Amino acid sequence: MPAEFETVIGLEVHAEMNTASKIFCGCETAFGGEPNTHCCPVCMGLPGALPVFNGGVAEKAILAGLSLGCEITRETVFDRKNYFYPDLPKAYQISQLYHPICQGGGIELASGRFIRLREIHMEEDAGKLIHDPWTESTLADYNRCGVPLMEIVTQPDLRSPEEVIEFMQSLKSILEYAGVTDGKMHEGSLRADLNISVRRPGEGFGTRTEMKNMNSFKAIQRAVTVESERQIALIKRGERVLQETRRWDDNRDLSYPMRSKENAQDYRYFPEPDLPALHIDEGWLNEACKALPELPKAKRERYFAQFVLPRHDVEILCQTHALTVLLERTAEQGASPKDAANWILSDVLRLCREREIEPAELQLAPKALAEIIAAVNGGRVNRSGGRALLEHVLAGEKAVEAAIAELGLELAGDENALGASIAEVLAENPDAVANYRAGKVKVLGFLAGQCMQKLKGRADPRRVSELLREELAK
Amino acid sequence: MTTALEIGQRLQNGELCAEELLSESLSRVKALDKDLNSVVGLYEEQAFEQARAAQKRLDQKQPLSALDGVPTGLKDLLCALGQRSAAGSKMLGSFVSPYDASAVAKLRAAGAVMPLRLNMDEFAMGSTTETSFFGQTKNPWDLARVPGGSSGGSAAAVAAGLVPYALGSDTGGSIRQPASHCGVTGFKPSYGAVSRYGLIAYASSLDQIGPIAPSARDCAAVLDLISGADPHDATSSGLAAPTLPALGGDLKGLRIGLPEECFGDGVEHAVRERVLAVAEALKGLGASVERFRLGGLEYAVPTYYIIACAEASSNLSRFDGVKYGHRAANAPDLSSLYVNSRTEGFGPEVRKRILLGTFVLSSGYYDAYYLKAVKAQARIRQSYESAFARFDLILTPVAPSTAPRLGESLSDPLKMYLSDIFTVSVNLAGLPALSVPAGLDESRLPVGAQLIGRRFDDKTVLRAGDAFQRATSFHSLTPPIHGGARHAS
Amino acid sequence: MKITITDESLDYLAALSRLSVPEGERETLKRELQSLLDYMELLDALPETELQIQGQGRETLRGDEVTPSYPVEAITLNGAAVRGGAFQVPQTVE
Repeated sequence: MPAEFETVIGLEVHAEMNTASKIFCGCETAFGGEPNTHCCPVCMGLPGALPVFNGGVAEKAILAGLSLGCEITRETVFDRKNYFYPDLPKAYQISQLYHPICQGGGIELASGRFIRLREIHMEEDAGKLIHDPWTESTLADYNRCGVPLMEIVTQPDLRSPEEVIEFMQSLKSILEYAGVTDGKMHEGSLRADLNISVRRPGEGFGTRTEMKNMNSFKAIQRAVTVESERQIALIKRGERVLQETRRWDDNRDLSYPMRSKENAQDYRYFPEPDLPALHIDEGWLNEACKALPELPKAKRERYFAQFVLPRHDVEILCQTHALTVLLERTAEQGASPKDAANWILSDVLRLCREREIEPAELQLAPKALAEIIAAVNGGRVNRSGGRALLEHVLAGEKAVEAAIAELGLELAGDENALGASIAEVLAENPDAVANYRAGKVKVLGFLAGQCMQKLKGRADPRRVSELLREELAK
Repeated sequence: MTTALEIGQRLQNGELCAEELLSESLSRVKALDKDLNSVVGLYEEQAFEQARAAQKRLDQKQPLSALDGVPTGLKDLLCALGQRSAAGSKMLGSFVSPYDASAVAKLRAAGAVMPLRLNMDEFAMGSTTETSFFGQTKNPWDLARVPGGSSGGSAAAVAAGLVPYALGSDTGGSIRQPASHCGVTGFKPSYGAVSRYGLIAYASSLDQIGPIAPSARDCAAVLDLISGADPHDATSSGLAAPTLPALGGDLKGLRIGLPEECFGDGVEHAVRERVLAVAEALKGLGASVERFRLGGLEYAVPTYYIIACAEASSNLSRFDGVKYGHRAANAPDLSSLYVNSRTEGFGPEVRKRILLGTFVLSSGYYDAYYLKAVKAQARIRQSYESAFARFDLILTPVAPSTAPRLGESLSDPLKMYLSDIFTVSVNLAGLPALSVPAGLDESRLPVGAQLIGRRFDDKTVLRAGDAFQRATSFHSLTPPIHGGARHAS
Repeated sequence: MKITITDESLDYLAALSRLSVPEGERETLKRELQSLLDYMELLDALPETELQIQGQGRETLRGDEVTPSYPVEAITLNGAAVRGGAFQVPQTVE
């Protein structure tokens, strides 16, 4: 039975581009720093300062466009968007309105539905405003001013919170693969403005509301759900939806209208006179196409075919570019892709969750992971020892070899020691031995455990069981 | 009038000493500037340090340039490290620049001594230097008259011999017109020849920094020091080669055009006469001169004001009291902070142009005004392109009249804007143009003639100006305030 | 295009520009803006044309290199109200 109402969602996603320097000056883009320590006359808008465009930003925008199936604009132009706010030192943002660098393109969802993009354009980020409770005032820090942003605008093709999340995850993944963003959402490097409206099927678009700067998937999901419910309830009561900007309160699971600064802002866009238009020629496009790395879809197919991994595992791995990089580089260091995949999917992901970091932030050398895998597979160290090594390596301690020695993880490969402990255990547990020989094979586990205790855990449990069986069979 | 290059030469052959030269300059400022009010900032200590360093180099016969040790003045629109750079405005009345404009840095690297900051119309918006927050500048030729604008302080200072040359800026005639009214030579380079980094922006697509000096030859020397592509200015491309070496010889084969629209009824009789006499002199040097119709000039003034005010309204938005500049006291909220700081900090002419610029960019009017002006600008460029297919240079008056009286212009703003008619189209097309003294009118007020060249053909413009000045002596005339010979000559 | 500058339009422009117009200046300003805009009607005589965009190539662009930033003292040198290196303004409401 068709739903009474349909939710229509369009997104404006802001992605910070991971260039070393800002879009219009050479200041670093690195996150953090004391206020106004990453600034210069250009990004803080001193009189007489002029923007100079960072070619690396164009390169990345083109790669992003190509990886999203967009058409690249051949003559792209920057425009000034004029408005007053303390986080905007020039009182205009250099953005693109009339000739954005990419047009069209889109992402196909798992359901087969295609979500179209309207455009991608480049712009500079604004600074940050901090509330100062001591003086009841606002403090402006321009460190983030001038960080290059890509704004990715979709057509209003999304129809549910689930579709929005899937689209965002897919977009994040593709942009990370293309190497244009690091996707650290908690640092604000990917944010979305949501445009939400509802309608009865067959009708034209309803009035939409906007929710800005959403930077967590969970919040986005809730916001879309709650807002569409709110609008539907309004309409059912015979009231109208007001076109407004609303703020989402994650703690209270609701949104409220923002105090309107201006109702309809007149940004007085005009072409930026300080920056010449950029001509993107055939040669540059060809180079960019060649430089495009393997994208998520292609990688998933390849992993499935080459590494013979379960499809579900492949999906999870390929969702995060950093994991695929770790897997491929660990394989380059000699580990089998299957082993590397297993370790990544289990312990590496677990550690990320425990430390509440993104895989991209994990400081794990592929060489180290390969060595750990080799040590475990070779029987030098058991699985829990391997886990300990992983923790040790992540803590910034030195090499795997040194760690094995230091932590005393080396298994008693010494068959004599093994044999001695087995003999002791068998002697100390005659009833268990009798039970085993009588057919109660489960007793083996108990006996093996006793041996492991004697060996203080420093043995390969598989070998212990093996030797036990041999002895008991005698 | 002694030229800047002559002074540079005398420093280099030991006839003059840099510190003495600076002292003389400063004494002249003390003696004359109370009547002129061309100086808005004085940096004696900095300048003496620079002069001493220059003298060391001169003693070791290792000058940084032909103008090493020569004192100069900077239009208040240019940011200079450690100097109050106020753009003639209350808004920046306490603003000390933490950086050098690229052109200023280049002069520093050439050994320039920089004691003076020179008066201007507020934010370069004006043609009389009457809108400055620091009071009006007077014309050295007649203290009851304006020196022109917006680089009025720079032109007056050079005319009165306070400094041998100065830097100004030109957006719609702001170097050429005051040079003309003060009887000195002023040059606006091709757009893009000189970096605008550090020039407080008025109209980004029209502004250029340029020299005001006693001669075209001086202008060429200064231009060669300050021009060049700059990584801090994406619109700068520099010039293909220095211009000073290109000067010399006669003007045989040079084709000069006289646009008939510039010699009609709106031009004062004396101005027309003097400029036509320049044409004759150029003929005498071997050039051919021909009248023609330029076309499109009637659109120049409205086009200029729409584009300039639009860009200015955006460029001046950054002055909000938050990071620098005048901040209103006791503003209860953010909105008041903005409105009060800006209304208190800007004078009426600036506020008017901001409102006009805001209007032509606003939703609903953008197409009818701004876009239309941009298309008109393209038409004006085309007119010049057609002209330069037939001619190498175009000769016009700089202004329809000589210097107006103080107070006269501001009472009729439209008339004031219209007096820019011969200069604004040059900025719209990005062309190089020189204003050379062409003699005096019956009231002994200077008349200037304008030579316009092809984009990036600055050298031909300067070459013609220099040839004219080698054959005549109008540029050596000095105003009464001069009180006799300048410097040790 | 015939346009009339009314009190409403003047107020709107002033608000957009964050300026206030002193009472005594309103009439003069309206009049002057009006005469300037009337004068600009001259441009209506121009025929319609298309504008071509001519861009510059990638070789004119800056490389992605970090250059040293200015010390915070230089950045805040001219700030009227600075606290902890940041610029202070009356509290913004959203």
